[in-house]
Amino acid sequence: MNLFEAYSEQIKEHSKNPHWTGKCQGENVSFVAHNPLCGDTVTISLVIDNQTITEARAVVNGCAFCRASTSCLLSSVQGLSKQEALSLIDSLLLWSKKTREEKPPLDLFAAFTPVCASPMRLKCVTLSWYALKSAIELSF
Amino acid sequence: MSSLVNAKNDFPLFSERKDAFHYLDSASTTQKPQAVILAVAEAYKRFCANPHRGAYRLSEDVTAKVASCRESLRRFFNVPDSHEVIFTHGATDALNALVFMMTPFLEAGDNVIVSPLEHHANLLPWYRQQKNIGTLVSTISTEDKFEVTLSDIERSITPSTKIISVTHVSNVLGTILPIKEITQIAKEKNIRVFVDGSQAAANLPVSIKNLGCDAYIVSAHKMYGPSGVGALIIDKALAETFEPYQLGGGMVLDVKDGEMIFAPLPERLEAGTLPIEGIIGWQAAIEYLSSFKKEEKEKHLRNLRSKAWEALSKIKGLTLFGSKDGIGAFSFAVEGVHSHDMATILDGNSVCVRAGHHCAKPLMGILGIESLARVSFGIYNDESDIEALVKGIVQAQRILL
Repeated sequence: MNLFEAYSEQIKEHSKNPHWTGKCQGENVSFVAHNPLCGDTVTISLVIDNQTITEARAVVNGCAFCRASTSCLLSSVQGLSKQEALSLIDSLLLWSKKTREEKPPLDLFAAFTPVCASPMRLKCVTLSWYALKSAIELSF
Repeated sequence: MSSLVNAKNDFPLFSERKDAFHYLDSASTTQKPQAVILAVAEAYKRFCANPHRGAYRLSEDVTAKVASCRESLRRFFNVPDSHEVIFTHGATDALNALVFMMTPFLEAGDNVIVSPLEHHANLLPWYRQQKNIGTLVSTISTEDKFEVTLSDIERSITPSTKIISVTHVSNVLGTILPIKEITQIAKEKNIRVFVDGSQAAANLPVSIKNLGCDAYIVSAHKMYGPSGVGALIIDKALAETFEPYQLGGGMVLDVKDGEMIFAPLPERLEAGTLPIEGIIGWQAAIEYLSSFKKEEKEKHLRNLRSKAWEALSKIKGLTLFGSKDGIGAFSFAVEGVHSHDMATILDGNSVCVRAGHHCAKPLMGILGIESLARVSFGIYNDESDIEALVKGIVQAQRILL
């Protein structure tokens, strides 16, 4: 597939108007992930209360796929327990390696299927996934 | 002499496609003309033997062929002596070899000057040497971030400076460094000058005799030849003092009682079997390039770059990064569009550009940017490529802004 076609309406919308941006008020965990190859940076900010992610936000300096993927992930983890969020991220990471055989754990991520198939751009999609995983693990 | 008007037809990548294809990444690697492709195939058919090794005619034919390729390179780059042309496995290999072989001549505190425009290949080996033996690598401080002038270089020289190792043409900005003038001032101060000519070899007429540098490094795949082969073109008197970078077959006269007597140049610095088919293909590339008038080729490349520069400068929100009077490549950034998105959307329009840091991280730091899109030109490019580039950039803005 021509990756050009991956700029779907959903990806464009999340990229132009990403959800859950900025830093949480009362943040108690943060994590910065950086890809030196392309310069993308994702700064995760969390409020964790009694093992639950009560708020998750991020500041993204990156490409459209990175911004959109972060927005979709953050929209999916608000209010989840830390363990539920980690399980979701693990299943997303697993799916990203075999998108041809499997559907994503959440339909919201189907738009990233062609991007995950590109070795060059896969990291754009997964940077925030790894960042959030690290942030949660830091909180244990 | 051939005409550049139809040069695109000489390259199967373009001539065998039915759709338009706009390759603007020749600074990464150039496409290969049919003549080079045929020469490589011919090498496997007719010249598959080890040079200098066999007492049979096929091996002798290959030995003669390699010598003839070396002579072609000598003529093309106007090198005083063909023994000064050392085949390597590419420009990176040549630069690593050069830094390694210079190490015994340097000591802690000796200064090596590099420019801010260097590709990592002409930077990391010097940094490792600095770490290992305590030399001091310093970067020329420039008044204009897109240019390196002679006065910038003169200001950087200290009494401890032993080496100036710089690129001839920037792979990101297209900036041309004044090599001949650098060499003149360096010689007065007994400083060696090494030049990474990877980006200049196919774009500028290069006379090494005229430049006067101690070493000049080139890569075949950036001048329409095969990958995996390059050359360290080096002053014979200096090369003869070198402990070879690699030891092995073909580079010794005798080995006895744990002692070795090295062969004369060039074999002395060419351990192991040479990339024969690459060398033969390179000769075909040189013959192909020589079929065009040097001035006409340079004019064509300068015109294309200048037209692209002008066209892109009219796009709102686009910032150009480069030397206006440079050659080869220049880079650009579009506000709100990441360079990787730009490259992907351009690819959707069959326009190939490079995006990222271009193996020049220190330069990106100086420019204050993480990533840039880069365009670069080859003799096969024409104005239709520039039109497609502009159209693609505008489309990327429409999609993502």
